[in-house]
Amino acid sequence: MLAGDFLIVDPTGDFDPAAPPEWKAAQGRSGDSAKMLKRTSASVPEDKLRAIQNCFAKPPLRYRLPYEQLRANYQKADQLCRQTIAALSNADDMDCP
Amino acid sequence: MQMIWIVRNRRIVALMGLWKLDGGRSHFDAAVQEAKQAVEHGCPPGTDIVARFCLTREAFRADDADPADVIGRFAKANGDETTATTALAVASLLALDVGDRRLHEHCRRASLDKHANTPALWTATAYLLDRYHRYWMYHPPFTAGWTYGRRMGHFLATGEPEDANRTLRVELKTLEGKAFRIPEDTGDKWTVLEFTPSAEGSRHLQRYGAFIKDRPYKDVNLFAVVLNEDADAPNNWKPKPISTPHLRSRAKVYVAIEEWDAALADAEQVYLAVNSKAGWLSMRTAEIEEAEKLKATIISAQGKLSER
Repeated sequence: MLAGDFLIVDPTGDFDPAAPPEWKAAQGRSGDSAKMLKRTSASVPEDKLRAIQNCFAKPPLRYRLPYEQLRANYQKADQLCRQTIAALSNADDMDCP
Repeated sequence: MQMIWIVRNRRIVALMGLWKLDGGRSHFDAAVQEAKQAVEHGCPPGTDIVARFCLTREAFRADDADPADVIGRFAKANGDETTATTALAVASLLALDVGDRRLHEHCRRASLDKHANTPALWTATAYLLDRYHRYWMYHPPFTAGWTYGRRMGHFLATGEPEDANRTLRVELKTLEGKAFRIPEDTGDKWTVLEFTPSAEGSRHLQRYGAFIKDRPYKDVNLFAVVLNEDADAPNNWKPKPISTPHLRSRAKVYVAIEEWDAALADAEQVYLAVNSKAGWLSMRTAEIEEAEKLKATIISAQGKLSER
């Protein structure tokens, strides 16, 4: 909880790269929860996003993970994120719609 | 659109997780750098909450920081209708970081009142409602003595209603394949849903079943929700074959209580099993001798009984 896992893990289903949990949470109050992000060929590849997301276990499994595995998962997520950001850092980031 | 903010958000959480696990400042500093990058490069409204969560923690560390003011600014920045529903829950966690009990209670209450049924907040809501956490929060760390255990037990089990209004809406499938909807099909009764890993059930379920049966008012439903895929297991259930030693023992019990027919049936099965194992009279074993003796005893007792 205190690391903020709950902000990026969807308790209702599998991870959707076109509607990540923080995006859905932001849409919830404006009542347009069905709205999806438009992915293009320039977007972060789905397989990379899924590999990163798989490092974050959902509750209740999250609470049963031993310390070492939890730590290894965070380290792996950090490593994958750094690689992905480095690979895309040369292009212009047009993230704001 | 690259959507690199999705990656940045996950890196920030991973680094904050490492910081919480290891306690080392380097992970937190890296998370702050990533959060600054995330805010600088921009992202859809509301999705920057992860970055702002981290930056607010950094803001607490300023020499002249007023934690309540910092959290107030965080809540204000995320407070309009287009931003994240998770903001109040995050603000309550930030208040925990600085040990501001009153502010934590205020943000917690607001989050539970507004978003207890919001799926994005199911995990956070469960945490905010958890009585164990609530008991130990702001509690002196004394655990010795039976009175502490009793006090905690009372707090965890006291029969007050839940501190939030949550509604379970779910559609399940019955063994007959019909739809069972909650709350529509509960008949306005209190409803116990027992989630079991397999259809064989559990002792826990049996206990609750007895509790409901013994109630003077028939105002409680009990449903078992089977989580594995074999929901038809009760229909396909077959008794396990009984071993020969078990059969022999059962026959002796029947003899003791003078259930002669049942005893003979078991003894006959034992005789057939040990005879088959021994190769049908090709060799005499101690087991065959014992089985024949048992059978003869029962037949003799039955004979004496019919003579009376």
